[in-house]
Order: sequence, then structure tokens, then C-alpha cells
Amino acid sequence: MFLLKDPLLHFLVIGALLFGLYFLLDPEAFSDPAKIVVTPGDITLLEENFVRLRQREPSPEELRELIDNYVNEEIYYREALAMGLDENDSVIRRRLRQKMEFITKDISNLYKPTTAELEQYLQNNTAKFQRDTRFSFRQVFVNTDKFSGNVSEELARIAQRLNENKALVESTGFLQAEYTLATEHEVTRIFGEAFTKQLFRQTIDVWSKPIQSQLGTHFVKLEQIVEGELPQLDSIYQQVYQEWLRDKNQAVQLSILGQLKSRYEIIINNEETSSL
Amino acid sequence: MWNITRKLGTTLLLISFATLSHAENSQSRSKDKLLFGTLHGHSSWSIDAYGLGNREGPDEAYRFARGEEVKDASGNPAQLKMPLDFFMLSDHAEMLGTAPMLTEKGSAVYDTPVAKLVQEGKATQAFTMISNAIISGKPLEGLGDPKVAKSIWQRYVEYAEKYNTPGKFTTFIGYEWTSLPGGANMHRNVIFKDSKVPEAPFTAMDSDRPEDLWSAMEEWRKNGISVFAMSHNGNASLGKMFSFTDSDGVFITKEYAQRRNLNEPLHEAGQVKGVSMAHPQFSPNDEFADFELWNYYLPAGAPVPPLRTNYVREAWKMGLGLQATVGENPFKFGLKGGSDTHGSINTFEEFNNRGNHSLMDNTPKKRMFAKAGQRESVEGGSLFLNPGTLTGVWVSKNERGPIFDALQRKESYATSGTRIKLRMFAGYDFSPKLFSDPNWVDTAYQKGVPMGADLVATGKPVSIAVWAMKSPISGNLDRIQIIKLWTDGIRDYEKIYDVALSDNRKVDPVTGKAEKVGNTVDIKNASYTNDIGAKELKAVWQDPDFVKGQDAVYYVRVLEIPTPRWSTFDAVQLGVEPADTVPTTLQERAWSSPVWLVNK
Repeated sequence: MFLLKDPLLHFLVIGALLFGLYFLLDPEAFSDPAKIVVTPGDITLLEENFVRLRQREPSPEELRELIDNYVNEEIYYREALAMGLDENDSVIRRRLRQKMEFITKDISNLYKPTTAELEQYLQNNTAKFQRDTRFSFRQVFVNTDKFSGNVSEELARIAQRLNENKALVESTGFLQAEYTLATEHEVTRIFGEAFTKQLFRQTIDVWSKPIQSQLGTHFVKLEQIVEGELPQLDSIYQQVYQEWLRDKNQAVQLSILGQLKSRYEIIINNEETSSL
Repeated sequence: MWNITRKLGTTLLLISFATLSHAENSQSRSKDKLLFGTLHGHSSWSIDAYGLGNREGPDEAYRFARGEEVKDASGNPAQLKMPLDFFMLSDHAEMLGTAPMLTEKGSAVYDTPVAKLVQEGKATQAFTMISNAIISGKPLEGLGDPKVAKSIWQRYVEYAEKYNTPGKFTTFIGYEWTSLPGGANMHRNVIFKDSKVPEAPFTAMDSDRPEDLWSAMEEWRKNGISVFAMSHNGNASLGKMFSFTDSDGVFITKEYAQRRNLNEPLHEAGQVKGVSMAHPQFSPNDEFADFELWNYYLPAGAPVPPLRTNYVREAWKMGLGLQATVGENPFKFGLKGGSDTHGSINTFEEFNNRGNHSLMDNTPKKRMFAKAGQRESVEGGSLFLNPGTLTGVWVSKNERGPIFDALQRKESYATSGTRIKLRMFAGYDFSPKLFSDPNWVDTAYQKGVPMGADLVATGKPVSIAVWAMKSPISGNLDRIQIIKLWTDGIRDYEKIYDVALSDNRKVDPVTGKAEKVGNTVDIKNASYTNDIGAKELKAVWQDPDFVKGQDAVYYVRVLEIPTPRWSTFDAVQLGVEPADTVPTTLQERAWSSPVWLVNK
């Protein structure tokens, strides 16, 4: 019972149906090998292809040629198959593989998920949709390049001034003295990953010890940290749907391939591989 | 009479741009965000990219740019170390999106000759056929159907809309106009400000003359569409990119110059197929000019001699002379970066290069030894390519409007793929203590002009304030240079000033040069240390060679310490010696858009 609730299974059922129908409806599957029938549908298709290429209707004579050509092609095609010319031809193999992939790609478009399914998908993939954590903090960048003397003594002097709330000579430059509700994404872009990791570990309202980033040395005072919330489905419905669709497309393709694979016993006779 | 009205029209347009350029100035700029992005890349919807074996469409391109993990052409996971802030996919408009349809039975193009070649796996022949079609301006049979083109363009636009996430990841609707007259690269990327776009792009099949592209954009603007074009690969233009003549070979006029500046405010500093900034042949005293050069005839991959009218620095110099000759400087353009990848993804990072031409250069072995990469006659042709450049802009918000406006007023810079933070201003009254002011950015805007702008001459010597900080994911800084260009009407000149140097180095007053910063690169392991160089460099500089009444161009170049070139990482991975045809290390850099000193 549990399995029947899985939307993926719906796909597989639809997929199996589609495959079944495809093979059933394939006219070649039940045609007489010694009879070639050109149906009105075939003729329409020939006409349409002609119009698409030449931007006009074919004349009666041209249509006759198209049909003759179609019949000749069919004869060659059947004879070639009978002689086994399709085997070991990489172009034919590749085309057929593409056709199969094309069919499996289409399946996901046949199925529209319910809101409940998308809600479930959202809950199962919170990392994908969660808003960024936000930080408010004060920051002092210390350019240690400029220190001629003992770096740790200089840093201790700055730490003391910060703790006493005294003004600093350090200029802010590109890095601001204060950031208000900056997202994790923004902070990482400005300061690099190493800085963000350490920001998460700071105690609120206390000047940090000197911390090293990929830019240099900083003191920070974390004032507020706001966990990113998971948005309601309504507000990001399209986004969730797109991600769901992409995931499902991939899952269905893989799973159909897996199902088909299970019908075969695969033996790879390669001495090097088997000895591994 | 008609002529006068038209000129008046142009003037009015120029005025409206001038008004626009001050839009950001009304509020404090001290808290601007620095954003990095690319305005140039191709997915499988570009017919040549498809021909190279690329099967990844716009989805993969956008997802990779915003920082997601996707598969590279070899099927290996690929992800940017740092996501991009903005991105414009610029697929070729000519036969846009028809390539994936070449193998789709029942599609409008399935039975065409080029489709047959692709279906038979003859990618190189298909590619040649496509290139020839673009060069000759004659669409391939069945691939130029306007109805098909319109519906594909709508789908293409929807991709950009789907991935645009204001505040975090901005996408622009844009495309490449692929003009190749006689094989000369005259390509332009067209960028739209917002969702207001034409029904169909103006392509090089419509016309391969830049003047006609400008006319199309001028028409669109009348319908409320905000748009401009950005040229690229001056280096592969056979001297045509910054030529003195128009498409008919006629010496350019004032009107030509005005229209060019209005319609093409930016040129791409560099990209995978080489940097177009300067060439040692024209800058013999610039020891840093020989950087990721690429001088080949694009369709055949044959080497060609460098021409002055291929290079940005030369164009900026020549523009000063043309100002006097025709009454308007036609080359008042700023800089942007991009990759021009044809593999949907592009890393910009030397340590993470995946190649840019899909199945032609997707593995270290192919990049090092294959006969590919536009130099098909030479083994290791791909070695001469690079992972592309980035565009930097300082804006109030990561949204289409502010980024587009900054680009349009040329307040942008380019880097060789690194994330150097850079601000540059020119003026007269900058205090030497400017940088001690916490709001120095606002002060600099009040007392001067930012990169990309004109500085009206007052007779006082020009001052330049410049501040640069290292990238969190690259090497320390070596130096900041100011490059000054001027002309005496007969000859053009350049002078390079080292205005800030790391490690307490000084410029030798006799040679005018500073000693090299050193090199910490360990070639065997493709690693380096930041034991040399500076975390940040800054200077308030006054032009010591200022001449009253002389027009000049000033721009900034910031150099990093040497780090391993991407090809060195490949060699380590393969366990072989690095190739001797390319350098093993490079100095990543940033180039600012210039400031023009204008005597009225």
C-alpha cells in the first residue's frame, strides 16, 4: 500500500503504459512483411514535411515523387533489416537510443503533482529552499601588512581599545564597520568562507579574539543572528514545482533505465576489469 | 532639415543618458555592494556550441552560474567556488535554439543537410557549414524560418525570467549578434535592461554591419526598450574593431562617433579566446602587457600579426586624436568581462578549469595535447585559451536596473577572473587623508568622478584616488598602476605609474620601475603562498607630468602576485611537465574603465 502512494510509481505505471502502447501501435509490428500500405496519414506527414522545408504545397507531381520515394525507402528499409544491416551501426544505435530517451523525457510532463506532493517535496528538501541565515555584526579589519613590530602585541592593543569602546584609527575601506542583517551568502562573498564559519561560532555582543579570514585579520562583534525560515509553499510555488519537475525527470529516466536493465543479464568479459 | 532634427534627436538622447548617470548619486554610495558577473556565455542553444558536442541547454548554464553543482562535459560534478551575482546567457541569435532540434524527429529542421551531418556524428563538418553560413550571412536551408525563430526567442527569454532572483542572482535577457565580415570578429552582445524586449532579435543574418545593429536598437528605444551592445574580441577582428572607417570603408564622422558611444558603451577586456587590452608590440615598455594574448584568424585558427586597431589601449589613445579630427571621440567605451564559453559552464578560476568548448577541451589531456581550440593544426591548441574574465560593478542592489545603469554609464571594471575589489575616482581636490574618512566613497563622488566618466579640465593637475583589496579566493596584491594615455596630434603616448607597491618596495627613480614582487609558486604541486604581496593597496596620486590644456585618458591596473596558470594544474593532474609553449604562472589582474580628462 505504501508503495502505491509514491508519485514515482505513478510515473512508472504511466511509463509502462506508454511503452506498451508505443510498441502495440507501431504499425510495423503487425504489418504483412510482403505488403506496403501507404496510409492517408503517411501522405499528410510527407506533405507537411515538404511544406516546412519549402514553405509551399507540393504539386501533384511532386507529391507522387514523395510517395514513390517513401515506398522505395520502405523497401530498402525492410530489406536492410532482413539482411541485419542495422546491427553494429553506431549511427542507427545512437538514433534509437535518443528516441528512447526522448520518450522517457516526455513522461514527467504527463503528470501534474498535487499541492500536498509539492508540500512534501518542500519539507524533504528544506536546504534547497530555506532562506539564508542573516547576521548583524560589527567588524574591524586589521591590515597586519602594515605592522612593523610584534603583530600579537598590536592586536592585543586593538582588542583592549575595542573592549573599552575607544575610537580606532583603523579605516574601514571596503569592509564596512557595521553590517545589518546581511545574508550568509553576502557575507561569504565579501569575506570568504573561513570568515562565515567563524561568525557562526561567536558569542552575541562580545568582541571576538582576532579571527583569520582569506582576506586577513578581523575583530567581530556579533549582535544578532537570525535563522533563515522555510518559506510557505504559496510564496515559492513555481520554484518548488520547477525543482520537483527536474528531480522527477531525472529519477524517472534513471528508474526506467533500471527497470529495462533488470530484464537483461549483463556480462562484461574484460580480464582487467574482472581481476579488480 | 531632416538632418538637423536627427541630430537634435541624438542630442536629446545623450541628455537623457546624462541625467540617468546621476541616478545612483542621490543616495550614499558608501554601502554599495560589489557584484561580479559575466555577460557572455553560450549553451547548446548556440548552434556552434551544439556542433562542438555541447548538449546542456540554458537550464544548466543558469544553474551553474548561480552556484549549483552541475555536470561538466565529461559528466563530472562541477561547481563554482563562489557563485556569480549576475549572468547573461548570450547564445548566438543566428539560428538560435535550432541546434537541439537537429536530432528531434518531426522538428522543422530535422531533414536539413546540416541536421543530417549532426545525426551522422560529423560534428566538425557541421560546425564548418554553420560557420560558413554565419560568415556569408546566408542562413542554412530550413533554419531561417522567422516563425520558428520567434517562438524559440520567446522560450529563450522565459529562461532568463525564470532564473532572475532580485537581491541574490540577477539574469539579463541578451544575445550575441554574430557578425563575421570576411572572417573578422565584429561580434556584439546585446543586453536588455528588463522584460521589455523586441519580438525577435536583430541578427547578423539581417545585417552584419554594426551601424545597422545600432539602427535596430535606436528603433527599439523609441518603443520603450532599454538596450545597448557590448563588443568583444578586438584581438580577433583583423584590425576592424577600432578602425577609423565605417562598414563602407568611409572615414568616420561625428555622427558615427556619437552613435557608437551611445550604442556600445563597453568592450570585453578579455575572454577565453584572449585578452584584448594591450600588446607588447605597441607597449614595449610595459612588462605586464604580454598577458593571455591570442592572435588568430577566427574561422581558420591561423596566426595573424597583431594590429593596433585590435587593442583597447590603442583605441583609447587613437580616440583622443579622432576627437580633434572629427569633433567627437568614437572610442569612449568602458570595460566588462565575460567568458564566451561554448560549454554552458565556465569556472573563471584557474584552479578549477573545465575547458570552455565542450568535447573539444573537456579533459586535461585534451587541453594539453589535442589538436583543437581554434588552432587545429597545432597540438595543444587549447593551451592558449584561458578561463575568461569577470565584470565588477558597485551598486545599491543586486537587481537588473542598478546593474544595467552602472554598465551603461561605464562605471564597471573587468578582472582576469579573480575577485579583486576596486574603486577608482579622478578629481582635483582629494585630500591625501581621504581614505581615513569612513565615508570616503561619498566624499570621492562629491569631489570627483568615478571610472567611466569624463573629468572636465580646470587647469589644475589631475588627482586619482584608488583602493584595491585582494580576492578571498586568490593571491595577494603586487601593485596598483595608473596608465596614462595622451596624444600630441602626431604621435600617441602612454606612461605607466606604479602608485602603490607591496612589501615596502619603491620605484627606482632612474629606471622608473619597481623590482618584481617575487614568486612563491611551486610548479610541481601547482600551489603558492601569500607570504609576499599585500592584502590591500591604496593611493591618492597626483599626475606629476600634467600638461595644462592636454586631453588624456587615465585607467587603473591592479596586479596580483604570481599564481599557477590553469595549464599548470592540468600538468600536475596528468603527472607531466607543464607545456613550454605557455607560461606556468600568471599575475591575475583587474582593469578599471578609464576616466577621460576633457578640455572643453
